[in-house]
Amino acid sequence: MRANEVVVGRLCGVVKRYGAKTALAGIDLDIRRGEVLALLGPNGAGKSTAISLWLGLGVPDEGRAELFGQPPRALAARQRIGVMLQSAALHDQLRVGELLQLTRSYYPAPRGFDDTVALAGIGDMLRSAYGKLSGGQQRRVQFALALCGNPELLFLDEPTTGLDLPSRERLWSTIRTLVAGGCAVLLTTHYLEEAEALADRVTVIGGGRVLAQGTVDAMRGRVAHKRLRAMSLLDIETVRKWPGVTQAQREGQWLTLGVTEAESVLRRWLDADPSLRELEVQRAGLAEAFVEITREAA
Amino acid sequence: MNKAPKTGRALRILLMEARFEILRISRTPGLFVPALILPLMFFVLFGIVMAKTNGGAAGTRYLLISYSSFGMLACSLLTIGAGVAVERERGIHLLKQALPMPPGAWLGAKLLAAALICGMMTLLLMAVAATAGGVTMRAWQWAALLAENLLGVMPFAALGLYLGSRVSGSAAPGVINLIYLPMSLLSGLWIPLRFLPAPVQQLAQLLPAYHFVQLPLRLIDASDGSDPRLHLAVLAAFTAFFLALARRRLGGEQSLLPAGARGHG
Repeated sequence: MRANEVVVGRLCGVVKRYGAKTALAGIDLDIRRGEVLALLGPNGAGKSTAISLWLGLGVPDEGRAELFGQPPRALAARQRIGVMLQSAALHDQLRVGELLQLTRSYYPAPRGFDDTVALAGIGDMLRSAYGKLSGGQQRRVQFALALCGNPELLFLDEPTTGLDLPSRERLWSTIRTLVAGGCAVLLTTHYLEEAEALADRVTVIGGGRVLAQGTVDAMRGRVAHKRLRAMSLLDIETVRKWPGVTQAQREGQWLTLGVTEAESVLRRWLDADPSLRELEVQRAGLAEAFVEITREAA
Repeated sequence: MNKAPKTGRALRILLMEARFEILRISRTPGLFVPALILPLMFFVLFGIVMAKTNGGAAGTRYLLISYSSFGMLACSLLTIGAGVAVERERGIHLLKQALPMPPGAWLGAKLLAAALICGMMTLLLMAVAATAGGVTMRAWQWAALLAENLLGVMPFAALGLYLGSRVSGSAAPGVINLIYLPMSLLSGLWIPLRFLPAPVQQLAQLLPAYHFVQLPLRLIDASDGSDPRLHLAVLAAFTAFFLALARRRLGGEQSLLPAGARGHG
């Protein structure tokens, strides 16, 4: 019973076919109160299909999609979500303030108008027609509309595409504020550093299946790789033949190695090149893990 | 929660949606101004300036009715058809489906907006007819003409919904013009059917605009004497048919991807 209260959205054994093509081949996903779940996958992995079924825009061929334990088409369920879709625009002729007023009216207990404006940082564009805004400004307006209903679950589909760095960081910090207040967020993104910065859990899908899921740390841990980088004069071909070195790259004086056993390679490197300077050791990031996971599946 | 506040809220959302739909249309003058002005221009030219050659006062009265039907077609088809096409193409319709908008608010708002523009067009035409045109009718005839024109939005809005669900936003005004302009001519909205060749008169029986205009023409005893129940039945069937088609296309499965890329995401 308790688990049901915490889970706000769930896909259960969902299969979706478009003609002969299987977009989702049996997906189980759940998202809990107060967490950010990042849904990652290459193009064509099934991310968009999963979201559209979760939003009730389509019906699964098998399995079921649920929002707050109800079918997604239920109005009561959708009154508790906020949506920012990558592929959806708004009316160019309407002003930002008007769009916000209209969207707020759909929700029984929306967030305050001024509060929403401040959270999304759109105060300076309220009187502008949506069509006159830049791509990044439009994204911020879409974000404002997603959070104006005071949602318990936010769907953010590529939320920061087209945003400059300050706007992106501002949006991240707003998302963190919402999550701290108990909001759950389903995030899809092409920027792995975005998932790394925001997500509690990551689900990688590919070919319509879940390839891996877990915390960001667990994902990173799936890749044993570490990255060694230093100014070194050693011949790159020699280094490449050392056991434990999977890749080597030279840029000017800098030599970068991808390694499976950092300690042994490091010992050897220091021995072989007494002039080595500026050594850095890094864990593999989510990006490396993602590449690894999707390559294993292919 | 009991039912009354829910209904009240749904109504408020409908009115809010309609208000912004009207605002949006009012900021797209290229779409509604021709629908508002074209029937008026035709009426002034053929019904007032050339009144003598067109049957005098009775002719002017007839043309008031037929051009107001023509304007009603333009208002309903252009505002709804072009609006829906743009919303569908740009994903606005998709987003609205994901948002908690009560069912019916979207369509209701579109109908209200089309009816408002159609009402404005009819009142404008009636004002010019009553003053410059010297048309005299009893109060109930004026009122009934306005009411019938407002109700006439229904069948053509249904056709507009369907067209909007099929064509692209940029093609919609062109396609709609290609449909309602010839239909108006062939249904006797520009020139009374009895002045048109016999094959055209027969073809008119198949067109909804013909069945519509016969109803307000009865107000001034100028219909062709056909049974109004037949016209009502045809219009009702026409409305139901295109509503069902539009519903299938707009209410069914939605993809977050452009139609061509379906199943690749």
